Amino acid sequence: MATVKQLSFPEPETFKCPNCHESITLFDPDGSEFCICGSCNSFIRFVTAYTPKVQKNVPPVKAKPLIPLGAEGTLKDHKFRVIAYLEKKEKGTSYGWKEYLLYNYEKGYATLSEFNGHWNFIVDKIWEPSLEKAYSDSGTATHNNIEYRIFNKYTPVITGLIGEFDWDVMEDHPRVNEYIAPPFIISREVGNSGSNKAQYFWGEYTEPEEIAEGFGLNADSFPPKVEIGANQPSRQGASFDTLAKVSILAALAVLLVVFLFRAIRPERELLNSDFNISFERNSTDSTSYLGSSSGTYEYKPFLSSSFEQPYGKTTLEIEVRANVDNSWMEATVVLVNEGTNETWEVTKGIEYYHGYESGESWSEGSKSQSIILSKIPEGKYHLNIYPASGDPTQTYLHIAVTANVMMWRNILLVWLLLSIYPIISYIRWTSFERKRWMSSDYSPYETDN
Amino acid sequence: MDIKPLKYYIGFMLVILFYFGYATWNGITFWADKAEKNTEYTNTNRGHFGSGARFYHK
Repeated sequence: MATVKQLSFPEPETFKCPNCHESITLFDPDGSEFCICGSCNSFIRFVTAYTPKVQKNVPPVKAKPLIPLGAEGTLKDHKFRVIAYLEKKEKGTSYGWKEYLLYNYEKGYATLSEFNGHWNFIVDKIWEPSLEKAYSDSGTATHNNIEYRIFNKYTPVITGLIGEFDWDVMEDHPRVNEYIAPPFIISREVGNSGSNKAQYFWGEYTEPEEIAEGFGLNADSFPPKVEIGANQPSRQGASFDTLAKVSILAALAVLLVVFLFRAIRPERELLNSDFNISFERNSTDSTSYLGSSSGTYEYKPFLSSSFEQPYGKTTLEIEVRANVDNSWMEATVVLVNEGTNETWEVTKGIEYYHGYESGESWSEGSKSQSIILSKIPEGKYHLNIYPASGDPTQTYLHIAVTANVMMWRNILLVWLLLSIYPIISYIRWTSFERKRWMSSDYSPYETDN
Repeated sequence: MDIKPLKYYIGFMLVILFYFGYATWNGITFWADKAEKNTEYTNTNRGHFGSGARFYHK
């Protein structure tokens, strides 16, 4: 057993390899039972504290450990000393990764794993006692009320190792299920040391900068990240819940502003009247009407009665309705401020056509049109109206003027603006997740395969 | 609720909400009809009438 419940790291000790007689340093001399000679790759067991015995040869490591054996550092608020380095691969594939065995003098072992530049800090139930209550099936694992989704199943094979251990690491042939809930990962191992009991390990995605800082290394010497790590957290995903809540609050705030202002300045009808309309006679030929020769009948212009706009600046809606039937009418409406003579002029066409064709009824257009005017100041107003139509039978125009109308389009525009970032964020998040799950055989997303 | 990563969005959101409140109070609509101002004085752009102002409203 690793030496635990100490106040500091034990003093390293050296001994001669029984095979090649090269010097080997043990960093937990009382706790380590097995070690590897870095010179001849002998796998050595201490039969007693002072009796090393070569058991077999093990494959040498291919790469120099990025964090050297014996290096001490602080990670996740605990002090660690690196005591072993392993190179592993998935059985039957070429996917390889590296593991650093970390020794802590209070609790024992933890592991740092690195695959494609993505690092995980992994602990067992000594560090995370709630792992005793973890459970899993083929699709999910649950730990601390967090559901983890299956990401990978494999059998690891050691392809190289160096350092020291308190167990016979070469006898481990576990079957591993990995479940993820980024930034966390649960590893369920069955078959360690010949046991069929499932062991759970819990890992947390760790940025290389944190590891480099903890061990006093240069982060630039760490391998660059390739693709997306199994449990690499998504920046968009991590903040999306909050983003969604803030956005909903903002959308409700928009409605609150509208209803608050409408309570102070309610919508008010200023004018609502039918106006009879008649033709203008030609000045040269009193039997014909002005413009009738071109098919456009010009009606006599008329004034509405005066009305008071009581608010400060407000939105005015002028609704113009005509009884057009397979015809059109055009009205130029001039809003006149009687106090300042300021005017606003808008021309609107009203057309409504309908019929029956190929066994189906159809219609297009409308019998009314709305004119929306912005920032109309307080004051007394009237309308000058100049109607024209392609139909000489029109007899009236209905005009309604309303102040402070509900501007749903304003609200929708603001909602649209407020939703742009959440929508982009959501798209980027799902895109990130799709890329993550491309490395898994258990993707919840549809794949081409 | 950690809002620190969203500080720029929240800043943008507050600007939008503030302008929306200002626009609502001042009757500014983002989809107003394009109105010609003070045409009763010049009266050169009414499509189907070529004559001068019909109403003297001063």
